[in-house]
Amino acid sequence: MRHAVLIEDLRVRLNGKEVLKGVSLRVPEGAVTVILGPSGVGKSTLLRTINRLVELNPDASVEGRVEVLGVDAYATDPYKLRRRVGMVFQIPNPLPHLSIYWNVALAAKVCGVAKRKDELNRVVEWALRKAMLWEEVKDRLRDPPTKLSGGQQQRLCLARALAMKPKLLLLDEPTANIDVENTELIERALRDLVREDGTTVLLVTHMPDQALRVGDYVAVMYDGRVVEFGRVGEVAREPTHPFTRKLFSRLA
Amino acid sequence: MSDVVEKLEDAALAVVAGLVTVAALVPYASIIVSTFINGFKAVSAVGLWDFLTSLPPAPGSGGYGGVGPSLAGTLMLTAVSTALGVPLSLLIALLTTEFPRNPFSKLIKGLVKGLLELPTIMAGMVIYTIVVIPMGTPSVLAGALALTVVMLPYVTTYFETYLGSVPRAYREAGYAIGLSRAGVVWRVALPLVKRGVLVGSLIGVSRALGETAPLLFTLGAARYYYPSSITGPGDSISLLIYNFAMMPYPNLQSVAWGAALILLASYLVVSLAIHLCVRGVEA
Repeated sequence: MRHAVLIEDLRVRLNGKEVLKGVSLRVPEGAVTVILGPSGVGKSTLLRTINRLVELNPDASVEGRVEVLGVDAYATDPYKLRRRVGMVFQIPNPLPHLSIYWNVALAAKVCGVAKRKDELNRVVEWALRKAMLWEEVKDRLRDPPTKLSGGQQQRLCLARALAMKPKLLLLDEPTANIDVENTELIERALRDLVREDGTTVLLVTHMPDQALRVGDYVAVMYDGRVVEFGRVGEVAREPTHPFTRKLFSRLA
Repeated sequence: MSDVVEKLEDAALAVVAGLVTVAALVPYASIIVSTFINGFKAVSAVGLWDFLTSLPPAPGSGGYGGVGPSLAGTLMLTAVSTALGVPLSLLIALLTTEFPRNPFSKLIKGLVKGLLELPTIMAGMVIYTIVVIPMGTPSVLAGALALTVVMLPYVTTYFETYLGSVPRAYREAGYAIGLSRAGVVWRVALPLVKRGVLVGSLIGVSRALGETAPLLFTLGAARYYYPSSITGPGDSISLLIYNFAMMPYPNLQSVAWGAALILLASYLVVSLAIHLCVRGVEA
């Protein structure tokens, strides 16, 4: 099996506190891997270590090996690395000064996916369709994103990430702040991406039911480490770690 | 019984508050009213256009005149000092907000904070020493440089506040699509605070309009001819008011009142513009 992300003995300190205490993880290519764990366990930090956003905190220190899409992430240019990895955040953050169209188009432009106007138009439509938002916004692409609902804004953020045509997509609890309908749309979009485009999806969530719905693999984090990894069905059926057992027993 | 006491206390408080308000408003209103009355006399004696364009009267001639060269000087000073001060302030604010831990950026931040405490007349003395003496003449340029020194800390502090208030989530959105640091500044931070940049610039303009002390040694008070270039001497409305108000000639004092009215009116325009912009600034 090929891997989109290879992490070995990753230790991350933020503001003097050790958040990740030796994480090892292999993220299989072309599948949805879900990272499950309680709040504050370092799930978000793990995602941010993969695209090096963690470095925006000047007090962060990263030790260990992180290989992303075949490249040593910490030996390459962070901007180039981020252009190959899409990310969706927990709180929808479309840029309020750009139109719906340019929120998506800017990402494509920065990443060199499209340059000419007609190319940009095509990528924007493609990304918005993939994010299940096209039909709702196709007649108001020049509107500011602030006119959209929270769930629509989050799908716009998904479209923005997809316009980069990323091989790897990171999502940090993307449905934690939105309603059930929007959650379903995003989950469906993620499944389609894997099936139709072979994208690797790494999804952080604290909801085990979401892991069962969209995940192929699951990594369970506890106390700054990955304590369990495997196919979602197998881990849910035969959990080995006490925390995993507790997590999935609630669903039964 | 206690009801009555409480009501008396409330009434007393209202009376005291009312008196204090009147005490604060009276001098304020008297400045505006007397400026308006006296200024209007001076301006209407020659007509608004002539007041704005003609030369001041000769001392003791008893005649009326205008503030043309001084107004031209104020416009030049404001234009040059804003053109220098605003971009420089923006650069400093970007440096200190983007690289808050860089020692150089900390040093600059400290210096700018220090300038805020500097008596404005010192700005004039410094520019006198490093610009006027080498150039051999006071000039509009030297005056504008002194004004730049005065406005820099105010405008910088304003820009810093706004740039610092750009939510982290938007910066992260920019970095996540692969923008460089410069890209995030250019495509995310600056567009988000562009109204704030406009307000900061207007605050700079309003400081440049009214400052007097930094111009005492630097500008040259040449108010009987129009400034020919920015490297030659000039005058400003504020400096004219300062000089003419202290002259023993009623006709010059009257021109000073007229100049004060012009200054007050231009302040009104700038603060109205600031007010309109601030309403649109997203906090």
